[in-house]
Amino acid sequence: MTINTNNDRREMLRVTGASLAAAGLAAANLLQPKEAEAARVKAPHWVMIMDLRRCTGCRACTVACKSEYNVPLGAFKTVIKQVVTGKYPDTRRSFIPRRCNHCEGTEKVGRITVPPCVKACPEYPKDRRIFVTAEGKKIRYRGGATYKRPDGLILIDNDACTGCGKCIDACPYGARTYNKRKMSGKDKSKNAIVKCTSCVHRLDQGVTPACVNTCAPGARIFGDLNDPGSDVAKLAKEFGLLENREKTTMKPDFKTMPNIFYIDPDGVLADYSYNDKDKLIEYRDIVE
Amino acid sequence: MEKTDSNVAGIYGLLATFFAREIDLKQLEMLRNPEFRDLLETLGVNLGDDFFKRDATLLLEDLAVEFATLFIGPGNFISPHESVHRPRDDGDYGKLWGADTVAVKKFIEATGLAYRPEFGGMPDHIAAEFEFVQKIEERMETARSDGDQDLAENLKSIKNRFLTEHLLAWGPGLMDKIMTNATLPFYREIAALAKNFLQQEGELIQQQAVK
Repeated sequence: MTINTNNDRREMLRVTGASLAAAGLAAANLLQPKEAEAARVKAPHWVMIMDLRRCTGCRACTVACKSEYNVPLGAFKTVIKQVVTGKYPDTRRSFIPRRCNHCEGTEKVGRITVPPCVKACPEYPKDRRIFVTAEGKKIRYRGGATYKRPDGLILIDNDACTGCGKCIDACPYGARTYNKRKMSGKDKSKNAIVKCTSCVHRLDQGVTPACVNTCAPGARIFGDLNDPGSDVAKLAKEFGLLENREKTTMKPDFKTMPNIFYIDPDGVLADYSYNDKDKLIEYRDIVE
Repeated sequence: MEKTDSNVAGIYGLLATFFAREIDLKQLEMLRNPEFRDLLETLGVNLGDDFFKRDATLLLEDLAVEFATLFIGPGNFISPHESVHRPRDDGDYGKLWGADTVAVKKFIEATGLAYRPEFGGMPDHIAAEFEFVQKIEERMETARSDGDQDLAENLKSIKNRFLTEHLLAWGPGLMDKIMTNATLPFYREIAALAKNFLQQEGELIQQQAVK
């Protein structure tokens, strides 16, 4: 092996440099200037896009979520549902990733539009909170046992929760359930509620959710819809995700305005259905 | 005060290019032309006769296999990410997406740069860190030629902070591991160049601190 003994920095630099860059030998191109962002005086609008063309049903997202949160056996915050379409011999199996939709909602509590789970919560609205945007603008909002943050995330504050379960009943997707390992903050005789938080602890550190980070085929795309340069904004525009909610979101009849969109060119979502009484069973990830 | 030299950016860029992905035919042809061969020798990089004489297709294949063996896997590979190599005071060590990953991502994005969507590595990939310093150096050069000394000094302090907090804290150690594991001269020599260069950058920062 040759040992680099050239310690004469001036000599090293005299002969290199500009020629390297000019020749294209010094352009890894991993970074780029940030595009002029949308005025971040607004809170971000977090959305996730599930690209059904890409999902291979590998369950890496399910496992990443479980390891991130130590989700107990038998419980899931995100699942992959398998849908078989067509008739023998012309059949096809498709995969539909599911998690809490962090719905925009259409019902009002005061001046805030909230989804059914928040509307149903007897412990909402409670304490006054402040959300600070990247630009430092402060947005006031109300906390509660389950509440909506200005960036669209639907979160749970267990200290304020009585474990009444009304939010579980209200959610048409079965995305909420009882946490058998944890008791609610206000009533120690009842279990706490568990659901996907969209990895808020990671988002607040500028890191994508665990399921997105681990998705090898890139079937989960996450970002800020208020940022026109974001991947989600571009995809939403390209596939008309916002305009065609009846085809791009789960159970559009409930008018919850989900923030999880599906790129679904084969119309698989239309073939996926479950009865309301089975919604919790539906939220179990069982590989068939 | 040391004058900024765009050549510094060039070397950072070269290192970023080689650690970002395996080299391609165009890069190989450039490296093989006499001008670059002399340049590499001046840098103390001896790639061996094989590198310049062997059939390009076969050599590129071997270099791609070496790159994958060293940095991608399967088996025992050297993850080129800071959080895997750098023990922290809080005991966080050996994980992907560790606290240092977030720190690097925030540092880089705070300067107005963003990761390209097609970049599949973690934010604290060695190539991303090299490229970040390259871009700061280039911007510093522009500021100096524009006569904006305040901005140049500010950028210099950003570069020194990033080197001290991140690249110098784990880069030389990573290069040692690459030199130990490399089976072909190319990555062994590039790692040696990187380590040597980083050490010089560290010495320069210390000298500036004494002044």
